[in-house]
Amino acid sequence: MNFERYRKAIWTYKQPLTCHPDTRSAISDLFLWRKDKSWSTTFELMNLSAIINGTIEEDASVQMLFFDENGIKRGEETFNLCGTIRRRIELNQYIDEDAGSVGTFAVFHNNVPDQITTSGSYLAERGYTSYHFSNAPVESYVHGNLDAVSQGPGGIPIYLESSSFLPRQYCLQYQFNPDSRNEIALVNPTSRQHEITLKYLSSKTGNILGKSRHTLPSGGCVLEKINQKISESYRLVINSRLVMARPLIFSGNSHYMDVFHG
Amino acid sequence: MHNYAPNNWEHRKGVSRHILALWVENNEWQIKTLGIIQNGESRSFDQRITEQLSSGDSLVFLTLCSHPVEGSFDILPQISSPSSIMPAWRATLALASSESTTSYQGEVDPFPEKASLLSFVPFFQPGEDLTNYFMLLNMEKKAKYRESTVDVIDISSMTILQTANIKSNSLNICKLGNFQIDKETLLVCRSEGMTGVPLYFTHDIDHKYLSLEHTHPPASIAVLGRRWEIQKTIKTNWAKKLP
Repeated sequence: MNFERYRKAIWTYKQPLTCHPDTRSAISDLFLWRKDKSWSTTFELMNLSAIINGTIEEDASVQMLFFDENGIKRGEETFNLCGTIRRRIELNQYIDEDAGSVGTFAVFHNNVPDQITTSGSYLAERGYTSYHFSNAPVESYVHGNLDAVSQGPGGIPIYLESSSFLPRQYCLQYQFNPDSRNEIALVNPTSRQHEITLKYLSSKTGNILGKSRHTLPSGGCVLEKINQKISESYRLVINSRLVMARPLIFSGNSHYMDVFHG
Repeated sequence: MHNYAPNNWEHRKGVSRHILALWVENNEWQIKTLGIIQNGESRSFDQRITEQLSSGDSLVFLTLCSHPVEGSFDILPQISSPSSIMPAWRATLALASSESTTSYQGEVDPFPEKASLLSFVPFFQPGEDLTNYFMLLNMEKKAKYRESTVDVIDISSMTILQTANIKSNSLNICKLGNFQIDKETLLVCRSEGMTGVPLYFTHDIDHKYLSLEHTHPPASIAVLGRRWEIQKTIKTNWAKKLP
């Protein structure tokens, strides 16, 4: 085994991005919800079983779990997709009033087609969340990208991302415009609390222009409104022991915010 | 484009690289080296690069490479671009108006010719003052343009709402009609002759509000195991069902 493979093995050995679940339950991303006077969140719920089977008439049920920013469960709903392949779920009505303005949620499909099991796979909800800001006539969509959570006995969430042995840097390949209103959100799909540091570096010089530290609870999230006094283009480096600390970026102005994955 | 690794472990050290531009002209891939990007540097390009290099006729692709490349090729040569897995090496693509910008992390690898597209679309935003587009970004190894069609289908009524012509090695832009459909209607974009990255763009009448997202392949609803079998099942089942 050559040196390069040994070197990378330190970062990959027993540290998969997604662990195999112990149960055959469906898997979900750990999505972010936002709810306050400016923000509302909608989830595009699609009947995945019907999509696999090529039918629009198939009934299905889906369970959604809602957590606050500390990863504490704050609600649970079951949605039926009876003879329908798509429902838009406006989350604001299902999240407790006192759950705060940001949190996470997971979506578990109860109907798992046989094809999934016989292929040795798991049904994964990595669908689309839309965020509606202020009075904008247009919603901004973002897709899920992690296989973050499965359901254990009694419906308890089991977080599937492993933690890194060594400190990692996620170097966001995106240049922030200092004239835009910029916000970063991170979720923690591991079973442990993590300390994270966000460093803002000058795009020109690489110098550190700002820094912040957060404690990210298991199943929870952090939302940082970047109000560092930065007057030049900058980029973000996230230090943590998450295997992949991929953030959600909100960027825009006073009347509209675009949302996308970093 | 960004010449720094997205993590601190997959690349041992940063190096300067060459920026290559690729576009199709006279049924050949034209490749030109635009310059060097230093380690740690980011560089932005806008639509003017298309006008400068291809007279606006062809889509220009950009990539980073460890060495300069110049020439004309009927098949895309292997290019030594930096890559990573956790996460993948990304570039940011944005559509902008004078008022707003919408972005996504967008890269493309050459697609096989013998491929089809099946995209389930929750992004159509109905509204009198909103305009929706379907865009298909395609790149294939062979330079010679191929043509095919894409259908936009309402699967609740199994009706083809619109058909558009598409071409390989292009960004195909299809303005969608003002479909009178329910907000929960699921549309499907289907092509039997070509695949690509299906992008959906919506803007308001003043271009003050922009939204851009892409759908994922059907295999994305399965994880681990032999997920590409699931994709084949989905495409086969819907091929029997769709008009």
